[in-house]
Amino acid sequence: MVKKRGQVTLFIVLAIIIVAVALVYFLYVGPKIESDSDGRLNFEKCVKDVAKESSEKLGETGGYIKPDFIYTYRGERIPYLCYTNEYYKTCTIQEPFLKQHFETQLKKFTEEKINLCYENSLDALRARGYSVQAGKLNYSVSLEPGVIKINIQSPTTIGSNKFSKFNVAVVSPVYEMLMISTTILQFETRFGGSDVDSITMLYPDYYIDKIKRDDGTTVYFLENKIFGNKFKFATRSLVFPAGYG
Amino acid sequence: MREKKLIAGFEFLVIILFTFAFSFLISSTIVSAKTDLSQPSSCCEKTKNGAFCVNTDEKNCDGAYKISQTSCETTSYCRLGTCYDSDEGICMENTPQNICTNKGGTWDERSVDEVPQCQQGCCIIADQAAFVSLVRCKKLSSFFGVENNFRKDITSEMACIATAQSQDMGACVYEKDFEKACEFTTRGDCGASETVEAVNSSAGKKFYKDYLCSAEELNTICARQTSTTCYNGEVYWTDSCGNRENVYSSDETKSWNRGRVIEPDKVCSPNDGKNKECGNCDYLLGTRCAEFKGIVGKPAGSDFYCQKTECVDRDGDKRLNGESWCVYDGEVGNGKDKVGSRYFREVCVDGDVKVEACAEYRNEVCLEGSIETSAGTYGTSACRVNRWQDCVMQSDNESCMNIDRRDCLWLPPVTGMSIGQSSASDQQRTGFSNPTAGEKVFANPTATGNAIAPITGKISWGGKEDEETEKNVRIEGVCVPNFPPGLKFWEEGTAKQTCGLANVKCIVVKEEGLLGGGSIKQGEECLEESWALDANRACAALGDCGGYINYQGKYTDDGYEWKIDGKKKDFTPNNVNKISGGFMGMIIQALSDGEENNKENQIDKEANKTIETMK
Repeated sequence: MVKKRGQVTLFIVLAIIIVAVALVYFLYVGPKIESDSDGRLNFEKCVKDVAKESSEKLGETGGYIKPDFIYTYRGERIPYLCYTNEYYKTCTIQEPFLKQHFETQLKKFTEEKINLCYENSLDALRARGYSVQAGKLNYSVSLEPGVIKINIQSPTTIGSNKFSKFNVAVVSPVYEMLMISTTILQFETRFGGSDVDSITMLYPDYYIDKIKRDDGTTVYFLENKIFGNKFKFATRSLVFPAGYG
Repeated sequence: MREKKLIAGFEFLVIILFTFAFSFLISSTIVSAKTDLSQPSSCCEKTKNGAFCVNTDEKNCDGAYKISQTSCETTSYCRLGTCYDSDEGICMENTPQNICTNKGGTWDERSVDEVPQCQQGCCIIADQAAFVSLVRCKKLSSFFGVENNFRKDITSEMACIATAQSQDMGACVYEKDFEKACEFTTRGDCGASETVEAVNSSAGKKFYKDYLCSAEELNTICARQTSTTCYNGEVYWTDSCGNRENVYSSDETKSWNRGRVIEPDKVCSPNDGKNKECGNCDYLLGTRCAEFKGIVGKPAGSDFYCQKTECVDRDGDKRLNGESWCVYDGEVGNGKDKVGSRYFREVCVDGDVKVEACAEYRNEVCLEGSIETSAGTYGTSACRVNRWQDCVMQSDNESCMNIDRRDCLWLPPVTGMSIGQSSASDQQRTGFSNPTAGEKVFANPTATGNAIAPITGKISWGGKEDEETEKNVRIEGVCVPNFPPGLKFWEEGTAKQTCGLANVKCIVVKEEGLLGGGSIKQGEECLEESWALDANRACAALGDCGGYINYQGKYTDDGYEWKIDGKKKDFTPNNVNKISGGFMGMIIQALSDGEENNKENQIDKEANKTIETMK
């Protein structure tokens, strides 16, 4: 009788352990359910990650991969988007179309990585036994309010399925940041400065800071409060000399 | 004899060689001078450091780009104009022609106001508005998926915003999947074929002005007040379809208003942050809509509330969100700004104090203002240009103190000092003025003490320079910057010249008696330390000149030189304390004109008499 009781207890304990293990597995480890569209999903995720990371990095350097004409502020290379070396004059635009410029630079910056994403996803499919035929990858980057759109064209055949277009959209405030920067530059070219407070009131989701340096350079910092994206640039406009100059 | 011939021949050779050598030296000097003159500023399309369209030395230009030995404004490639982006509908001023066209833009030499594509109008997007160009409006409308509504007849941004706000809002009801769907929007955005004021609906899209989608009469699928959202900084109820309703109040019946639109102020009073049950947030009262993140005290039925975003300034005073104020490095104005000081403004943004520095070298000053609100005073501030540049050119109190045009300060006259006044412009170099002397010009006063005018604002007596050419000019006072500019006095440059404007010499005329002794007839006051103190006061007001304190309160005396008969003198510790305290107890404004004239007349007579005696 005592032996039977002991067995029941043992079974109960075992059952609890099995249930616990199952719960841990399903809740924390999670089963990996593979589907045919896995390769595509991985590719899209990879492209999204690349676009997000690259756009954040580009924003730190005012939309330039390697900024040429810069102001160094606390070791950071910040490009001049509007500049004059003279006194009493408003600045000359160095980059008139920020949005288009950012798109071009982002495409250049992501080219290698997106190609790698593509190659890796194809290799993964091949490794799983699919017959994969791939053409040359072509893509365009366009910025729209709240989103970075990447339209990829690559004639790809996976087994009997053919794909030619992949559209990837990444949620990002880059477009808005570039438009705010354009507004600031319009103020700089016309008035030699900008009213950051008013702009902050209009765009409450952004921190907008400006720092005036002793050589007349103004460094602008934009930061999205939600996404944390940054955009930094410098201007030198309507500078007065120390004394009579 | 032969030896002499040899010597003569050698001398002749030396003379010829010397002539050639001399000619070469002269010619090379001329050539080098010519080279210097022939290096004017050039226009670089791109400089070596990557800047576009910069007037600079040719050696700084990037050889791969265009270079012209002329100003950029006169070149075809760097001429500035308006660049129009037909893709985004954005116009950029001050854009060089080449940069614009190379990037695919359309360049126009006219200013932005004259370019037809850049003419702005009111772009109405649902109940929002933007004052932009037509192409930009089309672009924005396409982004938001609404019909383009560009009003060219509205010519100001304020009118544009007002137009958008005054649009009719209401419920746009339509059939969808055999159900009555609804959108709360503008009349224009609804695009209803007919507008219905009475609620007797029939088939088709209909606009019900001032109705909420949850109004019972409309019989739509949208249920009232299911959640809340932030809109225009205020908390609003939303219905089950996601449409905005009236401003949030825990008094749901009052807020719902039987399904009709109601003004926020009629739902509940503007919220200063004390009432969590009212969503009528007010920016000027320091509140705006924010998500409630706490556990206790959550408003009934809402995830959002009017958050009070206050800051505390350096004095420990509470400041409302958006409020801004000036911060100084010490005493400012009245020509007392300290060396190295700068103007700052601080802004309260979402609970954080943001510091914004005005332009360096006190080229900008911070000015404060305030708005009276029901919650108290709401501070405002701005950095604006310091208009000190033409102060020294003003020769009368009225023009000096014209605050519409300049930021200057009229100081009482200092014997012998005439800071840059137009009539005395030459005297900056060769002469001086002495208000104790008459307007009558005299030459060669047999002075026991005269003044020298060295650089860097030194005050001195003694020496004998230019006595023959010196003239006395009477002045009523000196005009100096109210907010003295900062100078790069540690570098070779214009600091010495600027400070030199306050150079002053004072002639002390002594009448010698027949039996020795004598009495001082003119300029006796110049022998007093108070005179030197006054001169230093005016000197320090010109900029970072004279003996004065820096922004950390440290006094330095290397900005002035005070001599009597060539002997250097220093301020007494008592007067150094006076200076360090911001020229404590010193007169700022000149005497009134009447008093001043009487005083001058007396002085004139005395001076003439003195001169005669001297002669």
